Amino acid sequence: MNSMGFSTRGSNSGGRKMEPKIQLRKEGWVRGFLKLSRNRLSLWGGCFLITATLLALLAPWLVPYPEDVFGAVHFEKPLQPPSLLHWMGTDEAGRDILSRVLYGARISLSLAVVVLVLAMGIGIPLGLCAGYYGGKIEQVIMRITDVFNSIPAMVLALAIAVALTPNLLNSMIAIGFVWWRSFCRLVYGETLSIKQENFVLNAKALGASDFHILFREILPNMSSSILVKVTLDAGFAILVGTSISFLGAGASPPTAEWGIMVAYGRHYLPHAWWPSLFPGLAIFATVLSFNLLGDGLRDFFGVEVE
Amino acid sequence: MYLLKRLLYMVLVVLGVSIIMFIVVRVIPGDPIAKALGPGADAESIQKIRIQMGLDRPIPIQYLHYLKGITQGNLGVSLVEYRDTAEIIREKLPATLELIFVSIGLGVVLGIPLGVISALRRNRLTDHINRLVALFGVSFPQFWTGLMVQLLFGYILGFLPLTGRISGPPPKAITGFFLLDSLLTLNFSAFQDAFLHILSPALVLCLSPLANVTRLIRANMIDEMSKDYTHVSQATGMSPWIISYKYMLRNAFSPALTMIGFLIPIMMGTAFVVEKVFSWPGIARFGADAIVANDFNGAVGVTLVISMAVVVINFIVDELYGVLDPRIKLRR
Amino acid sequence: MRTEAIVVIRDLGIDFETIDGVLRVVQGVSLTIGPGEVIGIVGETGCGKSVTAKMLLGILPMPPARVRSGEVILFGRNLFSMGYREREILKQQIGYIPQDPTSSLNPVFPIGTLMTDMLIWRRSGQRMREYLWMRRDRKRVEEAEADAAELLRKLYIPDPRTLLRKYPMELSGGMKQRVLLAMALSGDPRLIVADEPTTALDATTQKRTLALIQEKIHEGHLAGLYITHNLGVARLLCHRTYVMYGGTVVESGPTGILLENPLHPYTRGLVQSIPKLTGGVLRGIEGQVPDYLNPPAGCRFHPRCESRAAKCEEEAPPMLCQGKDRWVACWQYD
Repeated sequence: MNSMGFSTRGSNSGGRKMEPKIQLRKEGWVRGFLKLSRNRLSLWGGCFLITATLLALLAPWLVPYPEDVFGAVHFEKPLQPPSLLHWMGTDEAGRDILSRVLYGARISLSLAVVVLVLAMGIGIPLGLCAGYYGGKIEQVIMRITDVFNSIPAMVLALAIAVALTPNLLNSMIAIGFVWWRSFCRLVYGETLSIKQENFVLNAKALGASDFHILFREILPNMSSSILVKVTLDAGFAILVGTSISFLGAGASPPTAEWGIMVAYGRHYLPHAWWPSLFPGLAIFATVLSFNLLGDGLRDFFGVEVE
Repeated sequence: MYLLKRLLYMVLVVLGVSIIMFIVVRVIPGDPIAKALGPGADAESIQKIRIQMGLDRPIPIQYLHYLKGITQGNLGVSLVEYRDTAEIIREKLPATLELIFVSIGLGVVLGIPLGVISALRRNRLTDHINRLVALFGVSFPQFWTGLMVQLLFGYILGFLPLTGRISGPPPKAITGFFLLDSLLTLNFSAFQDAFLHILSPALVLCLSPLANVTRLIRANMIDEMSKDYTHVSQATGMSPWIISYKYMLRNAFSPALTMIGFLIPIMMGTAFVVEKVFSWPGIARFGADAIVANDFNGAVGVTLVISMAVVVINFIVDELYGVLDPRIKLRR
Repeated sequence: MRTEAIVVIRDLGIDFETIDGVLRVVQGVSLTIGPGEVIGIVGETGCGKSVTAKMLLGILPMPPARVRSGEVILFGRNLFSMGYREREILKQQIGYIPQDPTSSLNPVFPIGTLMTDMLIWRRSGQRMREYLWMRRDRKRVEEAEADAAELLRKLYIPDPRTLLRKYPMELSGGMKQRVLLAMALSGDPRLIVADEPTTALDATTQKRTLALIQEKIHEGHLAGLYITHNLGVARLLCHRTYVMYGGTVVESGPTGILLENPLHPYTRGLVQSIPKLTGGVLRGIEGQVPDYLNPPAGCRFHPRCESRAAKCEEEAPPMLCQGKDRWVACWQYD
């Protein structure tokens, strides 16, 4: 730096060092994380979900009145308002609502898992094939998807659930069956754009098998979109699931499922508001958390997911 | 030519829907009649009705029979109300359509300004509140929201009716939409009555389009702000109001339309619970009852009608897109 | 004709606030534009010339941008102490010719709508109520349309009436640029700001458009500010030119003299890197554009300068006078 040989006295203007300091732009993912943490709401959503999952998993040990969850009835103390004994009060059969709400978390969260696994299992392969192979296969798969898309999720899920005999498991299967279509469409769209990329063409030229290309080259590149979608859809799946139970085609009493808890509590409005309020609040909080987290992830990945 | 292709496509889709519903409702359950009539029915009457409804024939024949019926406008007899399904649907369809249109209208009318304001005051308090509100709206379980709205506005505050579509006599039926008919016949008391009744369920139902419209408009408006033509308009001193609401919004809104097209099926599904909670006499409530009661004619009929509505609305939305964005029109 | 300067910028400093920190995009920039003068600002991409221009036009998005120092006098009035309304009305006196004609016209509206909106808004005194009332008035709208057509005709556009009905995408690049020129001239401006207006056009259209712009500036005795990275264009059109680098002005002077005898090492490098018809080896300038997050101390060009000295690292050189209207920011001329 002193190529001219001028002497360098300590005349630093403003305390700057002699050599130009190179400040690294913050690393890509660090920036992303900073952005995410600015979005404090998303973090709250994530925290809540983690807490909820923990509570759900540990429920059998945490719940104050475990027998109330499985069918014990205490007709001597029906519809008691929230108190120190029963933080959320009791329902029409005298059961502790808090315990049942906690157990409901297990049910709803497992519903989300079942639905999404089913939906992804069917939708993703179909979408990949449709996008990758094109031609007749694409036409057939996408037309079928279009047909399924014309039936509202709720309607079809309800119909399938009833057709299979209404119970909790069947409602989960039914919703999963309905949900594959949006995964299929998303994956199809992404496949169409990704398959033009150079690394795919390279793999093809190198003679990679179709299976390899689809699952090892193309699929990982849409993992962020899929992750965002899964997060957001988990919430909506829970909404549909509880709605179906509310209508009477899902869980049946005495199962501690949020939807039927609201349904049964409905009869006792407006005097006893707690049997309906708390389960509904639980649904709301859970779905909201999924949405917050999903939104934050969407911003984080910079992804366009409808 | 293009229109013809579209029409054919729509027909095919509806046909596909009918096949699926048929399979779900008649094939899977085994013996739908027995289920529908309940455990109390005896074998003889079940058999009688089976023959009467043609369920002893093989499935494909049943389907063709059903198709033939559709072309004649006959959707079979509903086991829920023991009436002709087509008639039931014709009766109840306007109620659901009216509810959905009002809800979408509310959602759009409220959502656009919210989205624009959010974009203009980006990342400040107003923006965050708006986004939060929108997010909240989509996260509520609709049946629960319905109950809470009933509780709040019906019981506690008491200024909105609890259930039903209208308390007094309905206006003379011209379109079947109470709000429209009462205005057309200058029946203002009926209008007020119908309006108050539709507010609660519409409020619940509009949350979904509201949230989506707000978010989309906000995102699109933010895109628009960095567009060159916006800068040019600003440099010539154009009013920021005109720039926002005329220039930017026109570009920002078109995608929102397509999104509304997507939303309608979801809203139809949500209507199932909302109509139940508010005892709204629409096809959604009827459909829910029909499905749960194993009334296959009712179930399939309702689903067909809903799918047709969805397909038609999507078609209209696509055409409207062409009107708003001349580039599409010119490209065709 | 008034003799006060159209634009006087003194020691302007603009910061951009980003996630990574504060970018010092413009530092210590001083500039004047006299009445009827056409000034060029020359520099490579990212040197802050567009930012300065946008500041004048009033279209710099103020968060994230922030004016840190300096003052700007526009038409004799202090820009920063102006009220909102005054600023908006003043915009009428500055015509803007943007870089890319295709993205500068709103695609969903016909040209006529864009132009009449603008004309009616001005006529309503920039008041919303008047505007809305006037927009509904058939007579007013027709008047505005006639005026718009007249503006277009002055720019040698054949059959302007038909053009008004068309959408931007139906026009060629050159035609769009003329429309933008018409819009820029519509308010009877005293200053034209052109931001590399011909870079997006093909060579023949470029020539024609430049000639047109020059004609109009000359006709109306307008002042002009020309942003370009093309030295040839500057020589053709601009009386005086400022050379910017890294957010600072490094040299300024009458264009011909500046380019024939560049004083600042950077300018010299620029001139030398222009390919000549007579051939010869091209010489570029070593190094890279400075990082605005942490700009080099002292003179911003010193890391790339062949003739740098110790003083260059410590202190940023002020603009030193080297003759009439000739200024250089380099310690060599101290």
